[in-house]
Amino acid sequence: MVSVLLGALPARAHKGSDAYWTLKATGSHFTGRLDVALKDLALLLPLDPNGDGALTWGELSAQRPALCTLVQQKVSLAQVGARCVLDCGALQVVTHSDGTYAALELSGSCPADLVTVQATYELLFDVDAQHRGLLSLGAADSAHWDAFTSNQRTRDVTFAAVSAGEQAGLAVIQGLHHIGVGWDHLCFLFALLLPSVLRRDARTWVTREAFKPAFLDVAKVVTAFTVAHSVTLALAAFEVVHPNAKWVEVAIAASVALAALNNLWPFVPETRWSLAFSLGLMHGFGFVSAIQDLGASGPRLWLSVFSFNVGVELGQLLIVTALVPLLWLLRGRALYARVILPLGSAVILGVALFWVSQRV
Amino acid sequence: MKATLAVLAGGVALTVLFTLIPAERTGAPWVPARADEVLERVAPGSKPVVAASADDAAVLARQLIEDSRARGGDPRLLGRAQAVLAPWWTAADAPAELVLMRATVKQALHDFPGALGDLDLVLRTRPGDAQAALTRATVLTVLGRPAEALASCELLPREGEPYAGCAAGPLALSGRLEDGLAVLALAPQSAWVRSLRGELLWWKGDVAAAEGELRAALQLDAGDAYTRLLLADLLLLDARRPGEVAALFPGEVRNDGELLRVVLAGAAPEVRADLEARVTANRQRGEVLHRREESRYALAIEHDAARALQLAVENWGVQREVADARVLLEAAVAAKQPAAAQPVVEWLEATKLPVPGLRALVKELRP
Repeated sequence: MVSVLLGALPARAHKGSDAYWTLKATGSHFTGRLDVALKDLALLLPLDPNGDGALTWGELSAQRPALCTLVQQKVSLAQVGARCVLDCGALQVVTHSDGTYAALELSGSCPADLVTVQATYELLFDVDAQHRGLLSLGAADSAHWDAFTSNQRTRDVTFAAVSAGEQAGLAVIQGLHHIGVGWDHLCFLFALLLPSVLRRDARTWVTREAFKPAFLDVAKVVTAFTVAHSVTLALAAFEVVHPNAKWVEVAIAASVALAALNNLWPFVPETRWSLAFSLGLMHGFGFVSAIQDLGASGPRLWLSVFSFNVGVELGQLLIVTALVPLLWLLRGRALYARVILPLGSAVILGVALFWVSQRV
Repeated sequence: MKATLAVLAGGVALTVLFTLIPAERTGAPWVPARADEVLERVAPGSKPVVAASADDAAVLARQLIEDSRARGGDPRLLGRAQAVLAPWWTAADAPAELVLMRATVKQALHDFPGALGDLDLVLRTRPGDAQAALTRATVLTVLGRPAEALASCELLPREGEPYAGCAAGPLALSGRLEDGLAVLALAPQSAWVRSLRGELLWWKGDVAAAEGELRAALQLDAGDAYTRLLLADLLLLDARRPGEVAALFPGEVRNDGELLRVVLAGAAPEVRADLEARVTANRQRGEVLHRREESRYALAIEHDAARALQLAVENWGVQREVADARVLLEAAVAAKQPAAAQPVVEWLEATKLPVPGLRALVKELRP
């Protein structure tokens, strides 16, 4: 019986086999990652020793040394014929549109600074002639990929060199921008600064006479907030902790609500800076996605984190120096203690509660 | 003082506790928590296959090609078939069976000239080979050369399903639609024959009868993915009952073609997002096998008529089936570029196909 439908074979169903390879260069060092589909890797390594068709994390991680050896054989960078050192880092797992992939961190160094190098990629072509190795030299989700195919296994690739100065500058601007459009962070600051030109006397608000106490109050609040969010930003940016992004947003909104609530029913009467610190911790986690968008990694990550922070503090400083004199001028009016402070705080409280409900 | 310390300590404690909430998976890599967590499912006993001889290679390749077809056209399996055949890829003196498998893979990869060359090789050594004749006719039909396709069908015995299935399409595309239907009427009424009749009736303009035949074919062979897609397109384009498309493809795991029809019929945001991710992944890969589907996607979902037209024109340069004609006409109408569709208009005149849907689009081209 002629297998007639062999004639009408559609090759347009699933995606062909791809591996995704990212690289970033700093001077003569590079870091990166290689994502290989587990479906494909199963053809090269014994990923399913018990033959049940289910590839588990245990089965994969047991093959890490063999995977590393394989990658070092089939993937390489060279400068003018001199091969670069390629080391394997941590093995993780990642999801792409057509299934689960092994994600192997890579690092290494070349004899000279990385500008243009010869990249060779030969994984899987012998078992899948339609496999492609896709290399990206930018951030992980950049649009441009260089394709290595069975017929083209070596390519000259050029790294876009960003000087330290450019990188820092971009990060500062990103920080400035982030605080400028970050309404939740701004409302948090407003709520904490509104009472700075008053002081608590028994159970009422009284206008401050001298500027110095007000100034000190502002300085303590801003410094406490800055220290708090800088610490948590660094912890998350360097991946010491991995906070859940969705709940971070909820917690930030809640922190704004609490700061505003404190103005209406002061539960932290004297040292608002302690509240600024405690509630400000969550805000640092909220900045992390902006750092990740900068795409820095490896030894230069500290530069991006530091510069971003500088940008945030600059922005904060601008806002404070614009706002506080205004508050100082208004503080004397009866309206301030009786209307502006409570009404302003109530509005911020309402908006913050709305954000909480939206973000949950 | 105590209050201050309490507030500070409370804040730090809450933040530490907060970091214990596990992060959700974005596109970022993660380390699974348990060794027995299942990450992927594969066919049991997956391992690389190395063929010792050309005959072994042909057998392995055939198995991989049939597996690919059974999974709705999985390109990974085709790539593996190609890799198995690689040592004999350009050998003119390889065994006929291997050359036939080579031709089938080339056809699936849209290397139609290459496939034809190999099929001619096979027919020289095995003149009456039914599969080679049939595959050759299919390729020539896709290339828009129905007369040559018919000549290939003549190599098959006149009675029986293979000849009917081979000749019906080319007859219809040579201006002999009724002859095509007649040939199908004489053959055993298998799923394949009924599906072909459905297609010809659709070209004739009898949408209701076409739908009946396609559904009957699916009753006989529920696994016929090609007919299922045809029916979906009929419902979307001419019967105008998109609501019934989703029911054709139940279940979550769908191949790209099926997913496209489901989204064109109207689907939930997550389903659209899935299709968008697949389209993006194909673009990153630089895939060129799906220009027809990509053109539909560009027009109907991205509302990018210019891109849709460019893809449709490139597609027409490679293949000329009724579906390719339709895609080019729709894009030309949307982009208001009648000149780009001129080759299709001429092709339509040459085939004398009634296809009311296409004729209506041609009218729209000339205001």
